[in-house]
Amino acid sequence: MYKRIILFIALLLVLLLGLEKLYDHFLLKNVDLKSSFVTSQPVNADVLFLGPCEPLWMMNPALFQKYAGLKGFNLSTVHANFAENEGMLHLYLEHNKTPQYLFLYVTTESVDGAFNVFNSYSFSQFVSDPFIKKMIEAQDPQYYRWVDWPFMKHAYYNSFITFNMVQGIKHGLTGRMIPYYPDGYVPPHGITWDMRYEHFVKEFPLGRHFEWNTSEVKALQSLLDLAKAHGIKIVLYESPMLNEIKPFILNRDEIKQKIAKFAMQNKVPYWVFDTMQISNTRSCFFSILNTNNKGSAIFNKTFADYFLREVRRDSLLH
Amino acid sequence: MHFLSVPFFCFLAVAGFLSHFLPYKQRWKLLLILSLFYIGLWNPGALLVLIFSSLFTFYTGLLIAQNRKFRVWVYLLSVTIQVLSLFLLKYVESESTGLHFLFHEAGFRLDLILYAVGFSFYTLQHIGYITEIYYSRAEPEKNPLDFLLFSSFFAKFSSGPLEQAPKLIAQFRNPSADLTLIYEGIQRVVLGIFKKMVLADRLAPSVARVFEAGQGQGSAVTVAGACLFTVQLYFDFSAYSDIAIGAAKIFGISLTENFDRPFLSTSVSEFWRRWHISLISWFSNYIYYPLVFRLRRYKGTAVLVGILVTFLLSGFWHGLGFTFFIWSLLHICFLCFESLTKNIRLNASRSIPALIYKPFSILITFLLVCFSNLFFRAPDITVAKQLFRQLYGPLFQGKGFMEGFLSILAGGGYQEVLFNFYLTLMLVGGFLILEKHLLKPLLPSRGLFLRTFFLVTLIFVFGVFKHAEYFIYQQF
Repeated sequence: MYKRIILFIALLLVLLLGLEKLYDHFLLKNVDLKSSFVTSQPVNADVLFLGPCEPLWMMNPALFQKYAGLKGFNLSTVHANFAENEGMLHLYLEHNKTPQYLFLYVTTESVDGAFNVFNSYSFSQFVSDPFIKKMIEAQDPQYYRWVDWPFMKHAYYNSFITFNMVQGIKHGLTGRMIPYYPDGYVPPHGITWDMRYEHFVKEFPLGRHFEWNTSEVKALQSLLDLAKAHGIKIVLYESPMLNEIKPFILNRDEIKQKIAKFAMQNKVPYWVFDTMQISNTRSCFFSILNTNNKGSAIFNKTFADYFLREVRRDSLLH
Repeated sequence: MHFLSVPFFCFLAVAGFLSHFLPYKQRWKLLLILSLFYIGLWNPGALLVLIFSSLFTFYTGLLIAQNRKFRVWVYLLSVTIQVLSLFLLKYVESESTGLHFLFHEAGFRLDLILYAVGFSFYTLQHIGYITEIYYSRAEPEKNPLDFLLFSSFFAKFSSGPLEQAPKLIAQFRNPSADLTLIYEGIQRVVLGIFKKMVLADRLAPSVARVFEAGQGQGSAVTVAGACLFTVQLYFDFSAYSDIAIGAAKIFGISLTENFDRPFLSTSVSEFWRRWHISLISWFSNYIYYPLVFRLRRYKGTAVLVGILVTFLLSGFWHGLGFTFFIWSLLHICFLCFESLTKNIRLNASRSIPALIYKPFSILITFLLVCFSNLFFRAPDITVAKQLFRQLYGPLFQGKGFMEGFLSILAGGGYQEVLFNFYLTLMLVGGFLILEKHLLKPLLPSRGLFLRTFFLVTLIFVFGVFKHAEYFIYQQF
């Protein structure tokens, strides 16, 4: 009986190691996964847009190129905190030409810690990278305990990973090289108004205090250090937000001042676009912090113009 | 140390390995030490409560058997103390009373004593034990250590199955030497892990979205939520029972089966003969049958009173909340209706072809159980009322099928979440179809390894690893 049990365990180990290789291979083949795409073929953008969902759905590299003449790539991912942003930037820099500029979305919500997270599963195929592994250890210790076990780096969050692997098989078989969103920008199709404002006001009728979360700020600092080490010019920015919500963010000015001070300490500019006209109307937004296609078109033009103006003033040459 | 944790599997492997070096008749000593260690590691307070309760029951049993004069008083006193302690546990635990907050604020670590793991399960077994002795249907145990092992046996300690002392103690003293039991045990453990991690836990997020989403959902999604919860509960609890039964088999001990494919029941009464069998047997043996026997001269009314008392107590055993009360009332109604219409239904079954009557009965039974589970799962009566109202509302609450139904259950309308949801439904459906075959233990020469290998692979590829250790029935 013991022989059979040992044989069973040995076969299981072989299977798990095989599955691990299979998942690694096909996850890298999935060009719709940003991390896999930027590491499998050169993107070589001049400008990177980074942050959680907001820039993902708002910063259109095609419009930026049209107005500012620089090739951009939107490296943002859904609900990502600064640590995940750093992981993405690290992977990008490992396989691509260093970009000239990094536009990083920083706002009261992104330094709070309650709104964005480190989605460990985004990096399951890169766990062998020491930089990523160290990051996982700090951000998701529970997952980290399993990553060295055969196949567990994929199994632990399999409901987030299996679909991507299956999609990778499809891309591998069809030889697809271009992602569904080639420049990383995801236009907000089909969403008219997501009711987040109503939910927020219902939950916090008297408003909410946002936190200056030290671990988020530490991760932000680490991200800036990585970019600086590569000689990238960094810009922190805040995109337009719906004016209606501002009275409910009780310490917004205080947090903004802290961000400005942080930017100054790091000698990077902090651009705030919250006084734009479009902030007054819901017709340019589908959510509190997200412009719709109409609003994004206006904001991207304003952003590119502002960028050109600043470049001319040489303020970005730090 | 939870059933679905690496320490537990290491514990099981080491214990299984060690036990094979001991003579069969000496294994009970190892099992006792391991069981006490297991419970102590979980919660030292729970271990003390268990030892005290077991010794109390053991000596009460002896007293009842030896003392002819006062046996009725000793028996009644003992049962009263056990029932009161169970009531106190439920009462303090119940959030509606707010007592646990009061105690906590006063600095008492009640969780160490009153939140004793497995208390509701072994208290019922203790009451059953002394009742058997009182009615002279069983002899009292002579060795307190035997009885302590009966109460503490790690495989069944926290959530059953409920056992009878003489049957189990006889097995501890004389465990089966049949090696095929070990194979069967491993298969059951793997099957249990599969049910829990691949089926129950994959269904859990969809169920939570329906029950915790608040107002404004359509009737379709409410019905689907109730059905999915019923299936989740079955997989969750039967998974626990499978692991318990499988773990016991590794040591040559056979525990009572707790489930017998309940979704094939053609009536609610049949459902209760197939669902949580050991608990229902306990209620039947110690509440329902004695009550019906005492009231036998009232004939039909006796049965109805028996059903009423049994299910009210069953509802109370699950919790003091009003939702459990409604859940038990619903089952009382279903069972009384079935009892009153027995002959009509029998005639109908004879006149309607079985091909139509049976699937229809199965469907109706399933839907009735799902309806009652709406109250079982609802966190409080406000949510339960709201879910109940939703049943009579619009199908998709004025939204389309995707927005008003599918995206709520799947957690969004993205390809990825829909893929996961469909995959879960396929796995659940596939399992229910093949369940009969999967429950049959195989021998090494008959595809045991292939099937186990296949299940283990599915656990790794589709299992939910995060928060997998929590079992629904451990809260009772």
